[in-house]
Amino acid sequence: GPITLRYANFPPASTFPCVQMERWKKEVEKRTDGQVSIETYPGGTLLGAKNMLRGVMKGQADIGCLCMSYQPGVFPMTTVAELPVGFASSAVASRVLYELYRMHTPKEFAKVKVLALFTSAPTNIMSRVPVRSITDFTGLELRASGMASRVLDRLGATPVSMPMPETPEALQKGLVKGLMSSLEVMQDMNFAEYCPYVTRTDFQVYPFAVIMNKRAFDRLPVAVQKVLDDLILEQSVWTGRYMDEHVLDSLAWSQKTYGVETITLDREQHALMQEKLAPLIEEWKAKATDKGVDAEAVLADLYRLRDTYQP
Amino acid sequence: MSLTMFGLVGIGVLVAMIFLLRIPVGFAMGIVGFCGFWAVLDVHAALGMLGDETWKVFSSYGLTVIPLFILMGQICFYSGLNGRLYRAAYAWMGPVHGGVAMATVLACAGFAAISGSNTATAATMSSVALPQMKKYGYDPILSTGTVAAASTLGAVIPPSIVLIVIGLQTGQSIAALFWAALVPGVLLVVFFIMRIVMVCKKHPDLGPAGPSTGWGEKFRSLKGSLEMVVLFALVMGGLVAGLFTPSEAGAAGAALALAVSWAGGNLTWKRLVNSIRDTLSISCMIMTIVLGAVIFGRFLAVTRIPFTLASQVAELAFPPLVILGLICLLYILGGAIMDALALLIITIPIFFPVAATLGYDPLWFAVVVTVVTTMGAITPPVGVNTFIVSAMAGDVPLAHVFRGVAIFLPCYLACLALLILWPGILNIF
Amino acid sequence: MQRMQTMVQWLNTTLLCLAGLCLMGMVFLACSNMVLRFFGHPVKGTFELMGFLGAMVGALALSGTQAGKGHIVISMFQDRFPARMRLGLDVLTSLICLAFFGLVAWQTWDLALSIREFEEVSETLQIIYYPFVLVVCLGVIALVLQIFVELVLLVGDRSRGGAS
Ligand code: NA
Ligand code: NA
Repeated sequence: GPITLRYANFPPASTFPCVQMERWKKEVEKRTDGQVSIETYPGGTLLGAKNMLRGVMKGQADIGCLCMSYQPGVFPMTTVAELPVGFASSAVASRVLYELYRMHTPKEFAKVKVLALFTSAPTNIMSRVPVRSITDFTGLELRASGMASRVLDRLGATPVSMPMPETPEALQKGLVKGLMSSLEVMQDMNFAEYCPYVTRTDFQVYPFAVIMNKRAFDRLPVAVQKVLDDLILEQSVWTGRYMDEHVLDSLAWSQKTYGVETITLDREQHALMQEKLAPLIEEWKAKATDKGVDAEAVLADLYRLRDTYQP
Repeated sequence: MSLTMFGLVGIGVLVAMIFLLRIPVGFAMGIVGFCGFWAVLDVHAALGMLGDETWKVFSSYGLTVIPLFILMGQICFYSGLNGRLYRAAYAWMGPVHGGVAMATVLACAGFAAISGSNTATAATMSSVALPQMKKYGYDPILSTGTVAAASTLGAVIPPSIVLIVIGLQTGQSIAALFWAALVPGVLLVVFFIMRIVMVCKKHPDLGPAGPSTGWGEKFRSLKGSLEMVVLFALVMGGLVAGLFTPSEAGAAGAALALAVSWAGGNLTWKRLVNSIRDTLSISCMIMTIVLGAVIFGRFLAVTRIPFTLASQVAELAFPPLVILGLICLLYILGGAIMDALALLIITIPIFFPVAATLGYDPLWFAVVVTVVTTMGAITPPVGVNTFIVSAMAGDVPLAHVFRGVAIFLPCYLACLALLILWPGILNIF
Repeated sequence: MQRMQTMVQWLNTTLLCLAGLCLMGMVFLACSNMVLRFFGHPVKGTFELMGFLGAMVGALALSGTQAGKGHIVISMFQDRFPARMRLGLDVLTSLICLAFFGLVAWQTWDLALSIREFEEVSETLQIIYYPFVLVVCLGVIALVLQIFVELVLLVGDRSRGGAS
């Protein structure tokens, strides 16, 4: 019979990491002529967000999709992608992440085989009150987690951490005035109903990696290994593009259904924010250097690649 | 063997283990879940899952709500706050036929309003109410039946551990669940009291009338119950207004209960230590059940039984109401042989997708399911509350307690019928 | 054996005391956070600290709860079994539980080591947190010891019963 590979993923089946998983499954099964069959486990049925790396290394699943931001300290190099370095789209950020990985072969993935690298769409502000300038952030309570909450902290806003399912109710009651997240949630979680304003800040993205157990990969026939290798860049780029399109659809829907206003900030405001956020990048540099990463070189490559792919 | 078969065998083995071995329910779920996971996938997957889930469940912020609410209830119990509540209810209703039983229903409701668990309510109220009813010549069938049935209110009237667990499992707002569950809670209180009136009219010797009390005594007694009312109002109010999270509500409630009983001179070092010790034991027991259920749920998820079942039920040609009736029947039967919390934790991942496919409001479904399974806590052959009351009463055989409980089963059925015929009733508060 | 029993009892009590301290710590932490938040200065990392404390409460109380028969057991049919069979089943139960929690202890230990090896830190406070996982492991080990003591007593009962 065919070789069966178990692919674990942590968010619900409808989210983009799982959409790309199903696409990858289809492509692999097609390109190997049914020699390989992929069993997918979405929604944390096999492995959760925090034990993906360990679970794949130990063989609980053959393949797993993880988000580097969920395990602080574990991915000192690739978390460079979650910094506020000005990615305007998931397509560009995903491509840059992939190239950085190829150039620097980070130690954090040394014990697994990487099958794809991509990022979420950039995070933006969705709120009940308009945010038109940096001063509007002062004291504004926004739901955020991880790097997003540190960004808000720097801008003078009050980040509130709460589970995503509780956020709609908190918005209704005015406990939080909005949230900072990528914009597909406007439609997917119906935040457009509570947030009449979207401020395009494109602060930062969340990096993801699809990894495979090394032994499981080595056991595969050479032809199959080649199919998986050939898919790495293609899958990474595909996911970035899919994400961007999905966000555009979500915004268009929000505008049409709830008349959501999209606010764009001018150059001056962007520069002001960038200045306030600079210490976050310095913090990353210090921590990455501490763990033996050539932080300066990685950052320099990141900016160069960003400017290449993001004209 | 097909995956579905694996799942069904697993469920069968679990039931056999629980009934044949003297094994804690939570342990059994964990063991069967682990072995099942191993059988479906492999030993690496199963071992890794064991370590991961143990840490994840124990360290989950969501579960911290459990020890905090239990602590609040235990402090109130040991410092005698609920004893005074009982005296107030008794001063007002003692002189009527069956009045002490009615007072017990009200006192149970009051204690339910600070305690999260029906077993804690049963144990507490047995020790408070049974001696009183014995003193006034109440028939043990009525007295034990009343305590067993009314203590189920602990799981219906908020705060409720059952609702907290459902909220955590299905991602619903715990505050919204609490608010909605007040409706069946109040309905049940009213129905229980009406039922006692009816029964005592027919058989007055079941609950003889007590000595009459003066108005002064009646009003003086109210003062003693004031603290509990304020405590409940603050905790529920803050929770529903969204001023704090459920865990914070529990912590605030526990701190307030400490402050109130300390200020009233009712808190000794020994009582504090006792309430902490009981809280640790009860919460550890519940957390172990949750852990076992999570592991068992991971096994069910890889057998895909919940999804298979949901899609098959959705394809059935029956109207949703019939399917809902079948689910309820299953819960009643399940509740008849198992502990409510354990049953809910096992079945929620299976039936929630089904209810969602049928188009039922998840909030409403959660409340209905809570009422149905809570009823299971008093129905034979396994009724946790019935066992506790029978054990606490000492000389009353289990069969008598079940006979007493039978008096109150129609109240549950009436409450369920109302919820199903008029789903909007949940929004009246 | 007597010495081991005393030692396990002492361990249970000690762990229960620690769990009680953690419980009061949770009340204190949550309340301080609420009050300080009201004045605009919430305690950073309350959520994860509460989670860690909750883990200590649950895990450190495991053995004490087992010793105090606090875990729900449904025993209604067992009472009708003949005494010999009941004893056999009880020994079987203890062995199964012993094996299971032995595995749980081993795996939580392994998890703690992995987290240390990955140099993983907590999400908000960015503190090293694998020692908390080790404490959970300690709680499970105490439970294993408690079940073992119960098993030895059970078997001892039978041999004494057989002698008389
Ligand atoms: Na309650
Ligand atoms: Na029952």
